[in-house]
Formats: sequence, C-alpha cells, structure tokens
Amino acid sequence: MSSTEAKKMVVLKSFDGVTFEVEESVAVQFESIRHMFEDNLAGSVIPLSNIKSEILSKVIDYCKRHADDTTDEEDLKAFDADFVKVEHGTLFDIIRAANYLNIKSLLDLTCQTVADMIKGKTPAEIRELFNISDEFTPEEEEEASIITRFIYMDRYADC
Amino acid sequence: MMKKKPSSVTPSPPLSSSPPPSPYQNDAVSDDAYAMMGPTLPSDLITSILLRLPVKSLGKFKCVSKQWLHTISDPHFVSTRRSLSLHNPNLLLLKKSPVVQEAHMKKCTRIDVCSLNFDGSCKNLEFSLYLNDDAKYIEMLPSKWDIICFVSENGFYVCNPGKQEMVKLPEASCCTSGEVNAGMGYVKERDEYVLVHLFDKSLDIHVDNYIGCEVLRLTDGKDCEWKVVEANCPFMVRGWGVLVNNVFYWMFWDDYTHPSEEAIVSFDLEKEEFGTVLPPEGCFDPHGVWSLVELGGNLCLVDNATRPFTMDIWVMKDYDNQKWVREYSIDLNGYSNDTLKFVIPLEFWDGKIFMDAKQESLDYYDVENKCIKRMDHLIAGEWTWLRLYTDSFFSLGSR
Repeated sequence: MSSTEAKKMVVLKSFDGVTFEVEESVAVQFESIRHMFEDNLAGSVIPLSNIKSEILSKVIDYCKRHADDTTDEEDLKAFDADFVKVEHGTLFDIIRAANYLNIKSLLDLTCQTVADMIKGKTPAEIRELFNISDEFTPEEEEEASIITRFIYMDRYADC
Repeated sequence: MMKKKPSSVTPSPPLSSSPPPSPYQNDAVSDDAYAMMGPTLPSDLITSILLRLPVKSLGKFKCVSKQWLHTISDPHFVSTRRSLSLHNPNLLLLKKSPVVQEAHMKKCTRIDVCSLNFDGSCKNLEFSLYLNDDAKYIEMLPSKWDIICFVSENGFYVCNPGKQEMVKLPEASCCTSGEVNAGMGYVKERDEYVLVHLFDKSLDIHVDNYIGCEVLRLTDGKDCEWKVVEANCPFMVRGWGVLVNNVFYWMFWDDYTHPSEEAIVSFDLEKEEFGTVLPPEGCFDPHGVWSLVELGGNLCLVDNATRPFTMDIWVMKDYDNQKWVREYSIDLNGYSNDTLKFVIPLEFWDGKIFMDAKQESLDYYDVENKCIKRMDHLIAGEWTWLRLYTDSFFSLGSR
C-alpha cells in the first residue's frame, strides 16, 4: 500500500447496529462483498446482517493483521495461534462469519482449529459440542458402530 | 438434520466452493434466533471441518449422528478428503524391535508406528504392529502415500496406518538367493498401488542370470494377486525399484566405471518390457553408491560420492533421449562423515527437498535459499524408518 495515496475507507455495519470503518485494503479480503465497494459504492454503509459486532471486530482485527505486509511470518503464526484461543461458541461464530464473508485463510485456520480440538473426543462429547440431538435408534447405532469396529478389526490380523 | 438450525442459513453444496449469497439477499436473523442458535454450524461448514480430521477420528465419528454418518460415507467426501490430504503429508516414524514369544520360542517383531503432523505439533496416531518374522529380515519399501509395505523372508505385508489395517499379501514367487528386489509405486490415474518383485531362479542350471519379474496391483478394497510377466530382468540390480510415469527403475548391481554404458534397468509396466538407461554423462560410480529416488514426479539420481560433502541430484528431464540435468547440489558439510551416506531425499514438496538423515533428524533443503534446515526438534528418539505419508480411507479389503 502506498502511503502517499489517500486510503479508501469502507463502512461495515454489524447485525447489532455497530459500524466499523475499515481501510479498503483490509476489506478486500472479504471476497463476498468485495464487488460492493469496488463498484464505486465506497463511502456507503455495507450492512452485514448476520454478524455480531463482537465477532465482526475480531474478523476485522484478523484481516488488518493479514493485510499488513510488514508483519513477518513468525509473528503472523503467533497471532493466528492466539486468535483462535477463544471459547468454542465464539469460534463457531467466527467460522460462520469467515464463510459468509468468504475469507479463505480465516476459514482454513478456524476449521483446522476445530478439527484439532475435536479429533480425540468421543461421539457423545461431539454431540454436546455441536449441539446435535439427532441420535441413532439402537439398531442404527449398532450398524454405525459395526462400521467403526471394522476399521480397527485388522489391527493384529497377522498374529 | 441438526436441531435449532436457524432457518436463514441455507445449506449450500458441500465444500462451500461457491461464494455465499450477497448479504443483501440474506434475511436478517432476529435477536431471538441469535439467542437460540447456540453452538451449531451449517452442514457445509461441518463438512469443511470433517475434511480435516484424520481417518481414525472419522471412523469414530460415524456414530455421532445420521447426518455425520452420511457425510463421512459420501464418496465425494472421501475423494475430496484424499486430494486434500495429499497436499498435507504427515510424518510416519517406525521402529522395529525383536520380540520372543516364550511359548513357541519363535522370533517375532514388533513395529511401533507413530504419525506426526508435518510441523511436529501433534501426534496423530500411535500403535504397534506384530509380524511373525525375524526382525533382522524385515525391510520397508520406500513410499510416500497412504500405504506402506514391509517385506520379509515370509513375504510382503501392506499396511494402512491411518486405519490401522494390515494384511499379508498373496505369496510371492520364491527367491532362491534370499535377496529381495522389489519396488512399490502409486499410479494416480488409476488410484492403484503397484508392487514389483524381482526373483532369481539361479538354481535352474539351464539358464544363466535368469531373473523373473512379477507384478501386483492393489486397488481400494479389491483382492489382488501376483502376476508373473514374460520378460526376464537382464541385469542384477540393487536398491528398491522407483516408479515414475508407469516405469520402474533400479540401479545395476555392478559398479559403473565405463563411459557410455548403461547403469540403470527400467521396467515398463504397460509394455511389460525391460530396458536400460544411461546415467548422466561423464559421471561414474566406482563404489556403487548412487541411488534412485522419485522427487516431485521425476526420476532422480542421487550422487553423494563424486564430490566430497556434496549431494548432487540429477533429474531426468527427457525420458526419450535420456537427458539428465544436475538440478540441485546440496552442501552436506553440516553432517558427520558417518551420517553422510545415509542422507536420503524423501520428497520434493513446497519448494523443499525433505531428507531423512538416518536416525538423527528430518532435514529439509530450501531450494530457493540453498540452505539446509534441521527439523530434529520434531522427533525425539530413534527410529528405523521415516516416511512421509498421507492419511486415507484406502481399504486393504478382506484378504
């Protein structure tokens, strides 16, 4: 970004009515709304009707840091690691926002974080975490666990 | 379907490749709906998360819900997951140790398998395999995909570490010398593993230097068998066979000291014919230390011998005219004399050549900056074999 040029600003409005003024260089990372300020809509307020201000502010923070090309790779890694240290409900909100705004690197980061977080959990813990109440009937549970058992069956096949 | 799912979130096709609808078209979510949402995610985002899980966790999570079972079993999911995991290799560390079964006084071998994320940040799996074979005869073929292969005096074993499955392959032809010459490769177009086995029949006094060849093709969940091909291998070979573009390559057993002679045997899987390949012009291998590897889909000749403390990697650029180019010259001054000859390139990936510095560390050579970085912080303790590996659902069937 050349500092001699006047920085173009974009105004975003969260679901709960809070407005955020961000530089265009940051907002271009929002792939899905990019066309709006590129089509000379700069200056007007872009409503993001399903992102809470608390989440939007985090997402903007993330994009600011990633738009800053003076940050070195190690610092960025450390920032990312810190960024995802949030309660899982917040993490899910950020995933939804990243998906909605189509910010690929943030979506990758957050989905990977959830994957790492859940991989060692039990199915019951998963149901609780994801708020899933869609239980199997006993027969279906049996069928599903047969498939699961099969995976481990051959472990000592040769002994 | 998941409960409490807000009606405004329309499930898009899996993998969310298409951009989400414009915010202007999206209904606003009421305060109440927000409060109700709780920690849930729409199904396409659940899929994005599931795609990043190891096979072992996915097997376990099939019984989370019908929706999850459906997603995880979907063939499209399985194939997308596979292509993703090919871009995200894991490290596989294996250690063999002899075990004596008291009751039978039989020699057995335990192989401890451990897989790590590429940056070493987390351990993905850890388990042990047992083989009814004497540890000293067990070798592991080079590989860098989902399947690994052990060979011993009793035959070949293949294992999918991700699923913790292992099977013994059908019996291979008997090899009288006890030396095993084999190779394994992966043919992407057919999603197929190919094993090739060279076996000598030198007891047959009528035929001099008679080396037979058999091929086994392993596809997902199917049975397999060895097929002996008509052609005989015209030369004694050393090292494991390396598969590139449907052709296996081996180094000649003999030292290479005469210019314009061949030094490499090839076996074309399609034509089932043997051929020979010239080494790079003007290079010699009087002590028989050259080795062949496949890096980034190319046949490479690794020369640790010609120049002191330098690993020259020659890449075959033109297969028809057998033209080699010395693409990389890696300074090995950081290694001790004893380690030098055990530094083996594993794979070219992400602008780096990953190298197994036997039992000491995993190192990589940064091609752009021409420097070696040591990743020994990743790995504590010794290992017998080190491989790159991708986690997959590839099924070894019911053999």
